[in-house]
Amino acid sequence: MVVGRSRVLGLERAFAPGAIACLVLGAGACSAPGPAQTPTDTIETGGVGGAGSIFAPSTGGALPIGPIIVGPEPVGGISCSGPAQTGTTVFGPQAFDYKRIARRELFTWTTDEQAAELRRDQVLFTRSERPGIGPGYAFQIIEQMAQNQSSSERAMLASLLGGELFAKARFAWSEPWATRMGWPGEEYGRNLLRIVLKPEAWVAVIRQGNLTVYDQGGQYVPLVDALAAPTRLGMIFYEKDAFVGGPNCGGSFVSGGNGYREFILGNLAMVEEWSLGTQQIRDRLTANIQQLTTFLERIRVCPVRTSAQQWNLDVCCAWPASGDSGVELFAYQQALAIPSDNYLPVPERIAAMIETLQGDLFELDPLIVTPGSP
Amino acid sequence: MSARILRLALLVSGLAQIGCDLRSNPEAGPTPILPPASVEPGPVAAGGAGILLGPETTPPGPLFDGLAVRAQHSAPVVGGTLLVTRDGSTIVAADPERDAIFLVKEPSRAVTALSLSRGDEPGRIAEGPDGTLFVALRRAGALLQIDVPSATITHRVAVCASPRGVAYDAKTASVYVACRSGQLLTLDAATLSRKRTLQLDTDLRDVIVREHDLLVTRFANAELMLVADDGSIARRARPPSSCGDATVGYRALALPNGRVAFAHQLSSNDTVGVDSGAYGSSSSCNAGLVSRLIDTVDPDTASQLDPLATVAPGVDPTDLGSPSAMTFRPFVLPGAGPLDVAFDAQATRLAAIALDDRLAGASQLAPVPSGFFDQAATLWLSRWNLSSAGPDLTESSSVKVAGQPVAVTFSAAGKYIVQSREPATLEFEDGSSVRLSDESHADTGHLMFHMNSGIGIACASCHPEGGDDGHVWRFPEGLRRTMPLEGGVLERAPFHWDGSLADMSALVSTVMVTRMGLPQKPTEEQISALGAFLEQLPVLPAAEGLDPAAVARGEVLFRRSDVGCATCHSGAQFTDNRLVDVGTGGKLVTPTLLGVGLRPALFHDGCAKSIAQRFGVCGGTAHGKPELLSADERADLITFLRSL
Repeated sequence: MVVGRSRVLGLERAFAPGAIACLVLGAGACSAPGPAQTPTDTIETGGVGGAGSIFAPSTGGALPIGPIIVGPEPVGGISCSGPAQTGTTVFGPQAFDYKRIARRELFTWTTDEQAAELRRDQVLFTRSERPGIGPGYAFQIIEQMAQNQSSSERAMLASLLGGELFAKARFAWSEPWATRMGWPGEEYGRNLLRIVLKPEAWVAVIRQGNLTVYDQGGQYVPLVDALAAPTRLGMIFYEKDAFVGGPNCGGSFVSGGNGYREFILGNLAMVEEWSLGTQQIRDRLTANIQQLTTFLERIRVCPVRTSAQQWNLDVCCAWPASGDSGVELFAYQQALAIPSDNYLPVPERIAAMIETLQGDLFELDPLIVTPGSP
Repeated sequence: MSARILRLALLVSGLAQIGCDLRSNPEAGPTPILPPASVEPGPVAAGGAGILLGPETTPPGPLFDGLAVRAQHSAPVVGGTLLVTRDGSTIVAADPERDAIFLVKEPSRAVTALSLSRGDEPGRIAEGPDGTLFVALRRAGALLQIDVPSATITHRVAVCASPRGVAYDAKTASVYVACRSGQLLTLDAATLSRKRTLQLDTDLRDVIVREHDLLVTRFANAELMLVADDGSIARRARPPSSCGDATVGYRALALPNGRVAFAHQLSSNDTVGVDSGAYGSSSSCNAGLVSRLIDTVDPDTASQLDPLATVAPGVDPTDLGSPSAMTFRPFVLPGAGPLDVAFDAQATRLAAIALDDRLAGASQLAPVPSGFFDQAATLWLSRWNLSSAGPDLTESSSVKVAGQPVAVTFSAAGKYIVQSREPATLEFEDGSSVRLSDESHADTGHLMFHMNSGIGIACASCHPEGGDDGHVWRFPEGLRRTMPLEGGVLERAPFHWDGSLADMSALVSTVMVTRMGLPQKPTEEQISALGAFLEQLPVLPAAEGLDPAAVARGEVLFRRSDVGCATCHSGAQFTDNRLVDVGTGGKLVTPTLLGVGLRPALFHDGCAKSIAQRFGVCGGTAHGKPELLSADERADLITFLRSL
C-alpha cells in the first residue's frame, strides 16, 4: 500500500492523520482515564506491523505528565512568570475527554473545489483515495489489525472498518481551529463543513494498541455487539501513539514518529445532518477566533518555544492526563489534534492562526443536508 | 585534553545531533560532516579558548594588550566583493571602507584603483559582456558599469535604496539588481536603463541567472525564490531544520546544472542560557546558538515529502518532516559569523573564511597594516563532491590567512584568492600578496564586532551587517527578537528588551564577556571603539515607491496626541527609551521605529510579521489608540511607518 498525505488525497480528507501518543508509562505516570468500562479484549501491543517491539514504551525514565514548564527553567536566575491564571482556561472546555470519545458534532475543512462539488451534488463522502496514493496511514493500521488473527473479533471489526463502511472518508475534529493549520506544508482548504452524527452512532477507537467501541455516553460496546450492528459505527477515532510508530513517551530523548489524533467519518447512515455556509458555522469560527485571541493575550507573557519534534512529544505525552487542569497551556495541549510546529504556542503561530481563521470567515450561503430525506 | 581535541569532540557530538535531525528528512541528504580541526595546530594565543581549557589555560592578558584604534569609516563585512574575470586576466576587489574598486592585472599584479565617493560602499560585483563589470553601491543606492581595459567607470545610475545582489544575463543583455527594499530591477546592460521593476518581498540579497528563470535569495530569513519570466514566484523555500530556524542567507553561488550553493546560518530555538559561555553551549543543533551551513540546493526538485509524492508502505508521511518546494543538502561549516564562501569554476573545491577561536594578539592591533587576524583568521578548504553535495575530508585543510579576510574567490586555475580589509591586500594560495591600498582602516570596534569570541559566535552572528537576523530567541524571561543596531544605537540605551543593560559597558560585560565567553574584558576605550563602530552604521534605507502624500498624512496621524504613537515613539530615534507595558507581555523598552518597514518580525516576541499585523491581534491591549483611525487612515499611518 502506498500512503499519501491527506491534502493530496484531493479527497474529502479535511486534515492529515492525527493521533494521540498515549503510552503506558511506568508507575502510572500516564494513567489515561479510561472509558467508563474497561474493555476486556485488549490486544497485544506488538501486533501492529511488528512495530510493537520497536515502539514499546520503556519502563524507566518516564517523562512527567503535566503542563509544559512555561519558562521558569533555572537558567541564569531569570525566570518567566508564566501566563496569568484567571480561573478558567480558554481551552479547558475543549480539552479532549477520553471518557467520552464519541462525538456528535464534528468539523472538517475542505477545498473550494470540493465545496463546490458538495453544493452541486450534495454527496458527503465521495472519495476513497487518490490513485496511486492511498487512503491514509490509519487505514494501514486497520489493515494490519484485520490481518492479526490473535483476536478474531477484533480482526473482523478491523476488516469492517477497512472495508466498504469507511471506504469513502473524511477526517474531522471537534473544533475547527485545531485542524485548520495542519502539518507544515499541508493545506486542507478554507471551507468549513459541519457534520452532525446520529445519537446512536458508535465510535471505534484505535488507541494504545487496542480496537474498542464506545457509544455516545462513553459506555463500552462489546465487539460482538458492534459486529452484529456495524452500521452504527459512525466514526473511527485514531491516535498515532507509540504502538503504531508515534512518539515514545518513556524515553529521555525524542523517538518515534509524530503523534496526532483524528476522527474518521465515512458511514453516511450515521450522519444526521451536514452543512456548509451557515450562521452556525460562522459563529463557531468567530468563537474560535475570540478564543485564540484571548489565549494569545494570556500566553504572550511566557510562551513556549521548542523544537517541533519536542513539542509533538510534549503534547502527545500529556494527552493521557485528559481534562481541564486549570493551566492555560496544558488546556491548549489537551484540545489539540495535530501538535505540529504550526500549533506551537508562540505568538507568531497563534497570530497566524487567528489571521487564517479571519480569512476563512465567509458570507452566509447556507446549505444544510439531511441524508436520506427527499 | 587539549583545547583543540575537546573542541573537536564537542563539534562531533554536535554533528551527531544535527545528523539525527536531518535524518528525519530523507531529502536532507547525507549526514552533514564537520570539517576536521586545522591540520596545522598553530600556537594558541593567550586566552584563546580559555573557557574550555581549564588547568592548561594561561591567564589571559588584556584584550589586544589594551590597545584601541578607530577608523574614520568602517563598514560591516558583507562578502562577495571579490571576482576574477572569465578570462582570468583581472582580479576585481570592491572595498566598501575605502570606497574603491581595485583592478589587479594578472600576471603582473599591477593594481589600478577606481576611487568612488565617500560612503558609496561598493558591494557585489558581476561580470557583464567581456571587459565589463557591474558593481552595486550599497549605501549610495547606485550601480556602476566599469570598462576593465580602460579601467574607467562608464556609467553610474541610481537604482534603489540599498542594492545588494547583481547578476548579468547574456541571453537578454540585462543586468539584474536585487534590493533590500524588495525591488528586483532589470536594466539594459549597455545603457543601464531600466527595463522592468518587480516588487518582491523585502530583504532581497543575491540574484542568480539560470537557464529559464532567476533565483533570488532573501537575507534574514534565508529564503530562496524562483522568479519566472513573467515575474511570478514559481517556488520558494527555506532550508529545513528541526532544531532551529534557517537565518542570514549571506551568500548564494551558482553551481553546475542549475543548482545553487547557499551559505546561511542556523539559529537555535532552544532556551538561551545567560550564564558564562552560554551562547556557545551545545544546543539541539549542537553548535551553539548559531551555526554556519552551506546547502547544496536543487531549486527545481521538491523534496519527496511534497504532498504529491508517494511514501513508502508502512511510513506515515507526517513523520517525514515538512515538505519543501526545493531539495536541500546541508553541510556544517566551521567558524563563526556570516563570512564569505566560494567554489571554484567546476565546483570541485570549496573555500570558507572561518575565524578561529583564538583572538589576535597585541602585535596585530597596532595601527599599521600588519593585520588583526594573523593568529585568528583561517580559510577552510576542501575538495568538493558535487554529486554527493559534500566534502572529501581527506582533502580538507585549514590554512592561516594574513590580515582580516572578508571575501574569497578562486582564480581561473582553481587557486584561492582572499581579500583582506586590513591591511587592504589580496592573499594568494601560493603565499604571495598584493597590496591594494596603504590607507589604514584598522578599527578595534570593527574587529570586536566580527571576531569569534572564542566559542564559535560573534556579534555579527546575530547582527549580520550590523542589523539583525530577525530571529526570535527563547530566553528564560520569554521570547526576545534580535534588535537592530543601525541608525544610532547608542542613543537607544538602555539596551535589550528589558532595559537591563544601561550602557555599552554593561552590554559588553554581560553579553560579550559572560554569555559569549570572551576571555578578556575589553578596556573602556575598546568598548568605546565598539560603540563608535556601531554608531556609524547607517540608518536603514526606507521602502521605495511610497506615496509622499500618504506618508505626509500618515505622519500627521502618527503625531496625533489622541492616537498616541509619538507619545512613546518620540524623537529622532522614535523611542523614549523607557520601559512601557503596552499589553504585549510585560514592561519592555520602547523599540525604535527606524527601519520598521523592512524588519522581518515585529515586537519583542516576533508576534507580527508585518506592520499591518501590528494593528491586528499582536498589537497589545494598551498600545496607543489605533482604533480611532479609519481603514484609510490606518493605511496612511502604515505608509508613514514604512518610510522611516
